[in-house]
Amino acid sequence: MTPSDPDAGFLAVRGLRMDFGGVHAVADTSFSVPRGHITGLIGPNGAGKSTVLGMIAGAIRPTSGSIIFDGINVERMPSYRRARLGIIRTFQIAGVFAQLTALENLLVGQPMRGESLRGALLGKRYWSEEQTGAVQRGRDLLTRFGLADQEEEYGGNLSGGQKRLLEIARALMARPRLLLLDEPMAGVSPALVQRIEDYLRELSAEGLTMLMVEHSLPVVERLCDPVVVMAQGTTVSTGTMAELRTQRKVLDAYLIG
Amino acid sequence: MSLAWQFYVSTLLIYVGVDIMAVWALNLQLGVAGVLNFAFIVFQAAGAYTAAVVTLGPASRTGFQHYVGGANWPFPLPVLAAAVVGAVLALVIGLFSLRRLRNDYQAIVMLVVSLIATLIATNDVGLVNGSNGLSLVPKPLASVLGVSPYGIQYQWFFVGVTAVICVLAYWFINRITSSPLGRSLRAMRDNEQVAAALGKNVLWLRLLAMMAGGAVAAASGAILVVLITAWSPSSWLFPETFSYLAAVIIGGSGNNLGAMLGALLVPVGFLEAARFMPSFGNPNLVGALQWIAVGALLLIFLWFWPRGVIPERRRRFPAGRSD
Repeated sequence: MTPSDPDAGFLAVRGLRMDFGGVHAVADTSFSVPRGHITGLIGPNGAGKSTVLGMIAGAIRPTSGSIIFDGINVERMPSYRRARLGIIRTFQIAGVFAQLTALENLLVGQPMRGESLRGALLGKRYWSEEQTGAVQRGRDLLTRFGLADQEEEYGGNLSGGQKRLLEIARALMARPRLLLLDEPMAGVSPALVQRIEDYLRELSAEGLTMLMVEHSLPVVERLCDPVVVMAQGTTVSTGTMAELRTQRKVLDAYLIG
Repeated sequence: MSLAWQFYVSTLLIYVGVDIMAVWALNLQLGVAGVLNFAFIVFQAAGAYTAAVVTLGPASRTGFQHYVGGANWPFPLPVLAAAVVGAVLALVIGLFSLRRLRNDYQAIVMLVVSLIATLIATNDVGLVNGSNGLSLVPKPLASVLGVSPYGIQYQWFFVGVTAVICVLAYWFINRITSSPLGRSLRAMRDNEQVAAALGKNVLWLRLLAMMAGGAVAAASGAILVVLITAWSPSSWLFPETFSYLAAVIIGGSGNNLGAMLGALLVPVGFLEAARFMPSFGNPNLVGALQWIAVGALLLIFLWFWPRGVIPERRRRFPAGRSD
């Protein structure tokens, strides 16, 4: 079974369709995301890549089609339940909680006992130990991403690049099984691009499966295998960047789309 | 202290207790969870009506008042009953109004709910006696203590009762706001979509904030109705919600201490202190000026100090053990 076979893979989308009024934003898309790889999703503007990512994450309900994650159909599940299954996404405009500190942002990522009403009413004795563990995990992640000094800074006061890193760190707190990255390099300085690439490569080496929508083709070339090309709402081809470069239909897609 | 002053101070203290509880409740909904509950006063009113109805006894016996239900429950059951009604009402209203709406639309819907509630209570006379409202609400525990319910001893006793209920309300709300649940609510307030993407069930969190706040608001109404011994639609028009909203924002949104300060400043300070102003000009002038003053103060704060006098505090965590 090749990676492009929708019957294989950790995550598979089959026949995904999204109509906004009369516009077929996603016209019939099928591809699969193999376990343990960073899969790239590329294509010209308006190809439907972000819409597909939104559908996988649960932010957008598809008109039709199915999304199968590790054998479970998730297309009807609300986003919070998909997150609990392990599908965690980042956002194009970094979604940090502005009035929470950086460390608190990370703590939100990890589900813990004191989040239920019963747990909260039982008090610190019930939930404090688990939170302390999470605080330590959070601090370790902040250090790993070079944000240790920002621990008590409000999320809203961080720079764009710091927010981007914080988002990824927070996603890790949720112990994701599939990380969806929505243009992680958008608007990021070249030096930071390199850092983020290195982090993603490390995470991949540790076994994390990722699906990345990205415009910067050099980044995709360095990080992703396989790569899925979309244009005009449908999948055009799948393969490594080297293979795709040789395919006429891929080149055409970028010219037409 | 002269008897008149004692009555004034004790009454004021009970108002302080009621208003602090109410502002804590609205702060939980608005300041912490970000739910724009413009129907807030409806929950305090529901608590007042419930407490009245379960102490007045069945309607037929009282004669001139018409209302649903009726019982003679001993204290503190009326307060508990009020809290339950407040929570259930919040659940019903929440499921109706808050399921899929964005923040700004929530506010409009809640405002409409508030107006509809007033209309129902006023026009369905059999419900809670329409625009005449309920009166002659008995004061609890007077016979048990062996004092006159109209005397100053009882009054101070009830100040104590209010204080106890206040403490319980604080315990309940603080447990929520200082826990990971509180953090989830604040995350939902700051960015609901992201919170959901991290596994938070935002509909449930929103309902929870409404129910918890609704229960405490209703309990405050149960105390207030004992103080006033009467309750009618004129006691709970929209400006009352506005006064509590101003208290949350001016005192400090998202901070329980700020909420207390806001309660002292707005419902108690501005609106009670006017008793001492000499009347001048049109007899309605002082009352109107009070509201103008509250509005003006709120605008000034929203422009210059939107986080309020005592803003939400930055959460810090103790330094870890060095391994």
